[in-house]
Amino acid sequence: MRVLFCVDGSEGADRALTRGVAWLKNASIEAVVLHVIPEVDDRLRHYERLHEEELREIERLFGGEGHGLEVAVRARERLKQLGIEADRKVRQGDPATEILAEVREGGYDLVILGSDATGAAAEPHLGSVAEQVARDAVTSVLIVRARLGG
Amino acid sequence: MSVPAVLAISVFLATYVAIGMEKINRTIVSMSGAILLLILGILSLKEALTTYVHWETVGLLFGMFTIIAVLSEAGFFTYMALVVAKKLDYNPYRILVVFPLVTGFLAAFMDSITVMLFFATLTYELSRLLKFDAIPVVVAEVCLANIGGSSTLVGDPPNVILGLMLGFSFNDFVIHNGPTAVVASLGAIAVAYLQCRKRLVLGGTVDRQALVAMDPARGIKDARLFKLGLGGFLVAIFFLVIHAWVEHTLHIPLTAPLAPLIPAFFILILGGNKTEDILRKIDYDVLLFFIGLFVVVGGLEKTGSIKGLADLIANVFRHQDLALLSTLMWFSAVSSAIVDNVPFALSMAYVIKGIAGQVGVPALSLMVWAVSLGTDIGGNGTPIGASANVVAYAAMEKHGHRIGWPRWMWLAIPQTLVALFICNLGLALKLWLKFF
Repeated sequence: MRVLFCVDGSEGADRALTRGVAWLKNASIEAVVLHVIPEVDDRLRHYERLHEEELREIERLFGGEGHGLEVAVRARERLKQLGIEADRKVRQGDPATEILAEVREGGYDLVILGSDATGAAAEPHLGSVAEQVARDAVTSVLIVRARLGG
Repeated sequence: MSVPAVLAISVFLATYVAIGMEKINRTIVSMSGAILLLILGILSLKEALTTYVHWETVGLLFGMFTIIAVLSEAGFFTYMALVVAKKLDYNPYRILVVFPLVTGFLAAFMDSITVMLFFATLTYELSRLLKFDAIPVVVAEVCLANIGGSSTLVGDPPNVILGLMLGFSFNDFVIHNGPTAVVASLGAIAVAYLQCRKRLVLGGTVDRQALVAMDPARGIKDARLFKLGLGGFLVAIFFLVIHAWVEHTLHIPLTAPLAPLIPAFFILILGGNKTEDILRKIDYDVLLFFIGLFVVVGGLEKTGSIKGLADLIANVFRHQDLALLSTLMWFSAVSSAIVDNVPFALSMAYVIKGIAGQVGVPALSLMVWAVSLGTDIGGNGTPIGASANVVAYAAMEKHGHRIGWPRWMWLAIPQTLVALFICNLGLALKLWLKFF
């Protein structure tokens, strides 16, 4: 079964990863972790342009693997601890749009993602990304919620 | 109300709302508002540029931006963070307490956006190697940068506006807002420590060796520029401290804007082949944003719209000094958490000037401290409350640490409330001691 784990560095995404693996314990999984780097805020982009060289210098100095890749690398390590080898992918843009594009292009059987938004019990609502992916994905979607997924 | 007054208020409100919505670049919004006022004939171009654009503010900001651009180009912020982290023995708990104090100190003299752009990035890099949660540290850094910014004339753009438009010097801010800001900073950092001490350190292998082997001097990109920038910065601060005395005693026109402009121009002259790089790093957008806003708010002043509001406030709070000061501070704080604090401070400069001209109201200086503290610190509450917040929030998101509004507010609001209560007490104490 080809499974796409969507991560963003948040607690919700970590929980989805762990829960997802636990629930799929006996399945043979071909896993991919995907981190979508959101479009950078205009004001940050403006200041980054002003100090582009110095910020690159900091990244070089600390030996960073590049923005965003870090999250995917961490998630892959976590999956490895849980006994699953995974590929890693990084895309940039609107998270929901990019996850849906990856699902379309990658031929996945299942998408797993977390949702920190809980809402009232009587009127549950998902985070906007989870909601859009659940609605529009061409494959099955497992959403691990903060309250219900525990 | 006259037709020009209605038009001026409409343009101001439209500009304010458009800046708050952040759909269009705020510089374009403020310049559009200014041009609209000129087209409507509320102000003439000559009047706008000579009477309402406060060139002293623009000059001071240009001077400070130039010096900060040199420091950032030279690697000052990286060097500073590495030196401090080494002194703290790379201990995450010490970093949680001391890094925000450092950003608060730096932001008292520098533009807090640049300080936070670098410190958010550097904190993230340190957290990656030392395996601690960078988010509470960065949020505390932003809170203290905004609190620290309230302590001097050059710490935050609202202070530059309030100070220069209403005639308060660098030393006035240091003497009156400085002690309050120091106590507020200590209160805020105590809250940050209590909030996060149990969840700061994450699991995993700590890569301490890489850091211990890292010489902080490696952060310096250009040693000559580093010395030039640091020298220029210290001269600017020295000039800011002595400018009022020099002007009044020696009758030499060393005004506040000239204090950073003189070293800034020396740096540009001595910068050699780096001068062009330095000039490219100056945030001209912000300067244009200010120029446009001066015209937009100038339209309100010219048509007498602000006077009506000032009269109303003075009538409601006559002979209730503490109530007026507290209201000004808390109203400024809440407004700044929701909308950009620059147009707010600019409008309030005219409003409190109008109030001060009436009988039975507190001294203008007390109202300046109240608005300044509220405007600078209130912005902490939300990720969009100040430009430094936006930049730090987005920088963390870019590095894969999505903070989210709920977590930001959970961390920042208690720190902000404690800081504001301390400021409110400070104002009451000043009123009681008649020290203003």
